[in-house]
Amino acid sequence: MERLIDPKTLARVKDMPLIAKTVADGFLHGLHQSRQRGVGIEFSQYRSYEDGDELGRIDWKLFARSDKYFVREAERESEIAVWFVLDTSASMQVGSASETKQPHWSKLDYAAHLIATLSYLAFRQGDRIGFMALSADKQHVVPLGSGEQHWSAILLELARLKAGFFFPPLAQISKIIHPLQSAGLLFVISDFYQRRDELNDLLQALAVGRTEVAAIQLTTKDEAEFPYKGVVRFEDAETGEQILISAKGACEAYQKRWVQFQTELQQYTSALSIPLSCINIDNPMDQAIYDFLDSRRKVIR
Amino acid sequence: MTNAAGLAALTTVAVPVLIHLFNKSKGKRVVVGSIELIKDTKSKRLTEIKLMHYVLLCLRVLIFILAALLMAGLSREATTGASEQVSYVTPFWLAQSTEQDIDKLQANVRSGDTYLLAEQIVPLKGSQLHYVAEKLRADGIAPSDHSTLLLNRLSTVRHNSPIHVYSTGLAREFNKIGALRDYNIKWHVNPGNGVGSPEPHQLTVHIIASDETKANARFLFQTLERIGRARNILLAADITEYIALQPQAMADATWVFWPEDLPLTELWELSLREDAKILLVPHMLSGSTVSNTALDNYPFTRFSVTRVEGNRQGQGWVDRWATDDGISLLTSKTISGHQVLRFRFDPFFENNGLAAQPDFPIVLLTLLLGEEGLDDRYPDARINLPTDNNTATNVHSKNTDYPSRPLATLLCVLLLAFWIAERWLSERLRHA
Repeated sequence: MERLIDPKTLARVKDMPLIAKTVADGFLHGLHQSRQRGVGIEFSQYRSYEDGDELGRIDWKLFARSDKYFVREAERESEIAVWFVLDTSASMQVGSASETKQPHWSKLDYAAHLIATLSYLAFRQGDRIGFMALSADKQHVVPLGSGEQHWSAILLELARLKAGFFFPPLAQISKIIHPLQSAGLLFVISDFYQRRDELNDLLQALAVGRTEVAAIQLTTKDEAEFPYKGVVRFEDAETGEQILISAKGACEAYQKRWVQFQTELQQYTSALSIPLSCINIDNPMDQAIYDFLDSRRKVIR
Repeated sequence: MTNAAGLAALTTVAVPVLIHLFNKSKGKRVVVGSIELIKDTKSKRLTEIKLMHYVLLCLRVLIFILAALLMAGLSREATTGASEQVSYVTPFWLAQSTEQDIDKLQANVRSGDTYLLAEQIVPLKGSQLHYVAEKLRADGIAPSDHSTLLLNRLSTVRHNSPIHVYSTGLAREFNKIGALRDYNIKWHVNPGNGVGSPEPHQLTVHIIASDETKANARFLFQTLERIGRARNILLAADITEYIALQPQAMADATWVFWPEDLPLTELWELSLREDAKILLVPHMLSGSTVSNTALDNYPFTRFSVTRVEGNRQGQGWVDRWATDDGISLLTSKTISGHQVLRFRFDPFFENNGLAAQPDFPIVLLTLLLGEEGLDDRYPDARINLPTDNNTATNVHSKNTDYPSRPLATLLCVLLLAFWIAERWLSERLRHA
């Protein structure tokens, strides 16, 4: 399996399940461990030993008989609920403008593929998965469920997604997010651009329960590097507000402001004990997922 | 340079203005997730860049204006060749002209208009020319000044083609000829062997040099030599030391240049022609003459050699010439039947007096001939006289080429400069 896959190349496939499986398959063997290992183990099948499998899982009796290493695979029942909360405010429609090559790859596209992949990983582990897309005008909820059909339902919802408006204030969505506060794992995927701390409020509301919250911030190369030149009319994706700037003169100040913004967000999430992952949508997605899962494994251990 | 095509071309100035406005409204638009991060970064550079945009706009407008002006100039030049020619004829020329002269005029004019510079401007048909000439001859018309009339005419009526003026060689016909030099005039003075062309003048000048006037006499002699080479004049000049003077040596002289420091009585003892005239040559220390100042407002065009018949009471000297500003140049007195002329100032004063001026040979010639030729007053007029590039005629010559030519060159240079500046600024803005 090729390790690094350019998500923009994959996006041409227009087949989210295939992409999600392709990307996820790279992690399934020997990389990821279920948190609920040992709970409700029932023998399922033998499979060949692969690098990364723990030696303790090798069936030595079978080795004695066949002179080959086999690992016992088990059906694992998981009680964990994995929620994906996606910010579908208009700012998520922003992509990398400096690279004009088709297809247009927005944060929302990236998030959809990321959720598809992560949810596939979760559902393959037997976890229950749920999905929530939040913007001020529309909120889509796919309740918790398990199995491939349920995963397909989430994919269907992801394919229909359209970004618009801004992120809703907590009061507007307090009823909807109620199920998120039960025990489980919760991914909040957003660019974390907010008008009045809506996302901060949401994180705070979610962090107090028994839920383990993971925040994923999506950024673009342009946001980090500010590669613009000449006089540029910047337009806010959500408010439509425009501002005329000499890009070259503003670059340095912007980058300082950007670092400040990132630091503030990091500090805020740290205060809430929420791990924050910053993913650049211009980098290959499987690398990002690998890094993400790796960081989570460290957290778990 | 204000013709219709040029004015029409001027409307293209709207193009850069429209581009400026269009670009301003359009700009380069980038949609970002949040403008809050960018809001704080507004820098002074934007004002600078806006200013540069306005400078760029100015440069582009100037480029279009210059291009329009150049086009106007070019189209004007193009139409010049095609336009009908206009001719002005002085009555005195017409009266003096032969049939061949008039035929030549008609051939030159072809289908163009001809006007007679009488008291008013009178249009003449080709067929009328001979008849009018006949009538003028019968009336015995005298030369008179037409410069004011022509000047008024040219400042009110516009001609696209060069204006042809037919005149005799007499300066009296165009006293203020200098004022006409900005117009595109082709002078036809005494065409061919036409009537009115005087016989070549014969001048015999003897210069007597005393110890005091030796240097000045030498200078005058050299000037006369230059005149003799340059003009169609039979001019014989020599210089004689006062002490070596022979009594019979002056017998053929039309002019005698006599040292001012020597008594005139000695001159009368020599045998002179009856019509011989005497010019007193100032000596080097003649600070006692009326004015040693160099002429104000010189150049020669301002040197209107006006005949002033004033009388200086008590001295018997009569002002002969004065400048436009009223500075008396020359006085004369008749002594012993001869006209004696004296400078009212020192022409050799500190190397910057009249003698040092490039016009001096012409002034001197005018003085010697007693009649001022049209070519003397306006040496750039095209006159059928022998010319030599290094002669007195051309010493004074100024570039009176049609003014649009150097202007067009200037416009071209400016256009190029603006264009380079525009490209440079444009590139800078692109990478700002």
